[in-house]
Amino acid sequence: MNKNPDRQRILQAEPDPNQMTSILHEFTQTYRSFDPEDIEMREAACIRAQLKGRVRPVEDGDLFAGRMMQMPIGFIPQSKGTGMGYCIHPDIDSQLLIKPDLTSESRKILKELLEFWQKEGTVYKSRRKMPDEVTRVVPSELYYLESGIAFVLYRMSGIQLNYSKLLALGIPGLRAEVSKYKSTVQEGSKAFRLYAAMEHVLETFSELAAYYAVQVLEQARHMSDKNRKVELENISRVLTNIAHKRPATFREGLQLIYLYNIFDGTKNYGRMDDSLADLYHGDLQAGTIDEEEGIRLLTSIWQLMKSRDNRYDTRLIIGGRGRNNEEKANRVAMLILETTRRVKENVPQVALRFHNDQDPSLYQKGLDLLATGNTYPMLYNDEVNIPSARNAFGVPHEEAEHIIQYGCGEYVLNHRSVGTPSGVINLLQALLVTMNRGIDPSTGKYQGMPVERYVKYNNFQTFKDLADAYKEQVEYHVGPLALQEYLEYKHAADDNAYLLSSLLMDDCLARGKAIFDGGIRYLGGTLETYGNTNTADSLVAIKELVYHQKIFTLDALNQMLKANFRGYGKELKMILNCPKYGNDHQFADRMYGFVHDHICKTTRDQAKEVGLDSYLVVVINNDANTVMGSFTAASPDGRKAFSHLNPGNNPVGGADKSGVTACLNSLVKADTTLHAGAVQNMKFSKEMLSKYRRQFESLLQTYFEKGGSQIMLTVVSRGELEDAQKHPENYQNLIVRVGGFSERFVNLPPETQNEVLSRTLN
Amino acid sequence: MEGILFDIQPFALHDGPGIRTTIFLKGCPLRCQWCSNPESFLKRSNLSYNREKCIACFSCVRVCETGALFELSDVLVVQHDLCNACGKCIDECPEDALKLYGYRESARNIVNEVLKDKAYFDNSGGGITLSGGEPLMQPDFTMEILKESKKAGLHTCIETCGFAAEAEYEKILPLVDMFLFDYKAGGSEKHRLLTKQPNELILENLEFLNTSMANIVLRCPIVPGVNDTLEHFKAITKLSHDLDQITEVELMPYHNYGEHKYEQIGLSEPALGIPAATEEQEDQWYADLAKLGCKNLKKQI
Ligand code: SF4
Ligand code: SF4
Repeated sequence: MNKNPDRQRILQAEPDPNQMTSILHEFTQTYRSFDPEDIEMREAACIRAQLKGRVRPVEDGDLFAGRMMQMPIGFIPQSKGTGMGYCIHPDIDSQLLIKPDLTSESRKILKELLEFWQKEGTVYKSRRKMPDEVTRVVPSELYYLESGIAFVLYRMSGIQLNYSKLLALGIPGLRAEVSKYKSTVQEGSKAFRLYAAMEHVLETFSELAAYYAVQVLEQARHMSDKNRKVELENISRVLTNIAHKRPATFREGLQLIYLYNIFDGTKNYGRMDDSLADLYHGDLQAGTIDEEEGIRLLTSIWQLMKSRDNRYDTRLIIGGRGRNNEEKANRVAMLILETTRRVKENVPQVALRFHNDQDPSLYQKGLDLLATGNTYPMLYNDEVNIPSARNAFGVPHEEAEHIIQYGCGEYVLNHRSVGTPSGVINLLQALLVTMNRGIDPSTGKYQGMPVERYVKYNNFQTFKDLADAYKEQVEYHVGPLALQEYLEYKHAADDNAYLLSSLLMDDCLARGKAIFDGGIRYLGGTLETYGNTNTADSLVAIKELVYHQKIFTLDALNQMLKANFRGYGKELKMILNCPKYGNDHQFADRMYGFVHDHICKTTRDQAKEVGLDSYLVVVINNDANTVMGSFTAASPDGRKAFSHLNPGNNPVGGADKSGVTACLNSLVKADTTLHAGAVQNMKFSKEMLSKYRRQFESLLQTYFEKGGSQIMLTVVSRGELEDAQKHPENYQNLIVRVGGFSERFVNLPPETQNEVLSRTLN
Repeated sequence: MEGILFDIQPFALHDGPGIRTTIFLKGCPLRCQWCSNPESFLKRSNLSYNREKCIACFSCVRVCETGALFELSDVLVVQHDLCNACGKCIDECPEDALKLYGYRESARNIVNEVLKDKAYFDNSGGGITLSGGEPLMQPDFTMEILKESKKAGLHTCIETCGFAAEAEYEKILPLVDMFLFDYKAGGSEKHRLLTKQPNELILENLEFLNTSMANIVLRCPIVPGVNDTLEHFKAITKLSHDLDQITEVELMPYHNYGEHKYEQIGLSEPALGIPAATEEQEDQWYADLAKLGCKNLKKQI
């Protein structure tokens, strides 16, 4: 245990910037000391070398150890922003470079280090290796800085580890398994080196846990508060146990999950109700824990998660088919929900899967949470999602049962697949550029597919010409995006084994291969799509007004858009009065189907072409819709220039005027079997879920029976209603009840809004 | 057959059991002071003008052939009584300041529209509700919608003020699963004062429905300072005892959501102009009624 002489020195509240600089220097030296071919051992050594910079002490009130930072420069598999492996952290400025007490000597060292890593970092290397056929078509990553149809993202995200296995085997069990595999392969082979490096990182993990144990005990010795002293001793005991043994209690299980997760740097927590089911059950049987204690422990984990501030990740899934023992798991799931009810934070993002044979109390409890203003759990319907995943991922039912989400709602097969979104496409921009025959109306510059490709579309004499050109525009980008995704993985594998992730992802151990080197069972990718509904509504208006009623020409329409509708009030009104997606209107919903099916199938079909097991569309929610919208000109759906694109799969804000049932009826028409997740958001006033709970449940039940896959419900409070009056653009889908019917809050006249407000307490 | 309506409201939660779609028909024989749907009064379309949205561009004036719209010292003046609801001005207005309440539609189309939500009705025990206005101002049309609804297997409710010929109730009786019957004020004089009509006919119809074994929900609009009186509450209580077919007594606390519409559609009578009843008031009324021994109250306080 005392092999590492640095062990006693690695823990500090916040290393001073000069100390940090020398840690980074050492880290870099470690990296350089290896033969570039020896990536596995190099990684193991680097993970160890950077620990000193990462580990932070247990803080007041913590019940678990695991406050660890990401390095300013380091091995960070899933970094914030761009990064996948060896990288410079995007926050390096605030973390380090602008610190006033940085000496000029340190500054000099840092400058050299930055230069080195800008050549050697995984992403930098991958960028350099990207072939012309990708960079010509999708040259930019800067979707947040400039206009464009498609962008690439260099990153790895959404790893969902096999926590059940981790807890069942514990660190020693996992090591034993690795060693067993190692003994079957030839010494010195690539697989051998992988296994050996895995043993090494597991050893480092044990040391980390043991080290924390000693530190916490030391803290306990100086603790005057008796209760806290006992608590600290407990924390220490738990750490000692998980360092050397299989976890035997719920608390040990939690500590192991959390510490392993943060040590690896992964950000999602898998099916926590499943992985912890046996341990919790065992504790209950033994009488060593009760519900309150369970909640107390989870609360501390929730706080640690919060401190990591991965608000776009930190997913945790409960419920659903494919768990080992549903009944036991449900008890943990209830505990998780209760903790979330009490803590009420933006993380963890709890997602509740449900199916027809599941104990209904779990779903009911979920609704109770939502009714009291929680934004979690998000609801996922197994009856739709499992068959959909089977089709989209092309896997058997038993595998599809493991469909879970990460991040903003992308599906992966729990510890069986990866699916990083490495590209974004703005479908509306594709349409606008196409309408302008290659000119981006927002900049006046040429964009997208080469000009000669427009010739065959007869100057858009028919709607079909235009629609076909739009399709080609989209297809022109999707191919290179898929290739970039595949190559990015390949390039990542050239330099990284992602040991800690590979250890717990199928089938890396059995195959003796790292995750991106052929280890992962299903190598998948995803493409984020934006502006889907705006595009559909735009096409409806074009078809109706330009080609059917012939009220104005396409060129005249382009003029209107260029003028941002200024001086074209009457035309804008006609446009806004065209049918829109989300009203259970056949024509508009079919157009959405056209846009949706086209992008989904185009994307899906690229997988084979480039060598991925799946490449699928995700229609998710984050702020990219707002950011990309701010570079997108006015559009034929009546959207003003540079305003946000519509988020997720929802109808364009305010366009679904026919009420909530019509909106849901439209939503369920979009094919769910072609993509890896499409997010539906709905906001309701509180009384909908409390006073009208029965009707509300019927509403949801019907939606799910009709094929609804998922919903994110938010219940708004008085303060939010007030905010909605000031910023209606942010509350387009908030539904309130007004004298017996429900209506979008933002559509109500101000008098009525005030009335609703005055009736909404808190 | 066609009739005139002014709205189809899906996901209605207040007009009968479960999730419903409510059809608002035009025309009403009463003029309740507190009405929140004044756009329902007339049995024909009427223009609504929202001054707040108007930018005084006068595009509308140019197309109006009846002289209902004109410009007077830079503001638009709307002479509602001259308007024939041709709708021409509406297409011209760039700001959506003008709209028409009321459009014609066939019973079959209405029911087809309603049927889009059948699955929601089935899961919640809901269906279609006819409201208004007073549906029985268009008795044949109402009959037709009810028939079509029943053919499609829908649960039917009708919201009625009770002011129609008994024969009309007799006709629709077999097609209506639930009558949402308004009871606004006791004493015919008081009733006339508040609604511009006496209440004898209404009470007779209520009796008739009761003896015909209809399923009745008694709906009582309660307006603070107008009919929240002990006397009225006693009358409600008495009805709840006397009429066996009243399965529920529901209070409809006054709200002023419709206030702004009075001016927009050019009504000479102003809106009542009092604040909406609070939830506490509502609870108090229910409690008062419970104390008086009222049966089948919707809300148990
Ligand atoms: S609806 Fe016709 S008559 Fe009435 S104001 Fe408009 S244009 Fe004039
Ligand atoms: S067209 Fe509309 S905005 Fe212009 S004056 Fe008439 S009502 Fe006002």
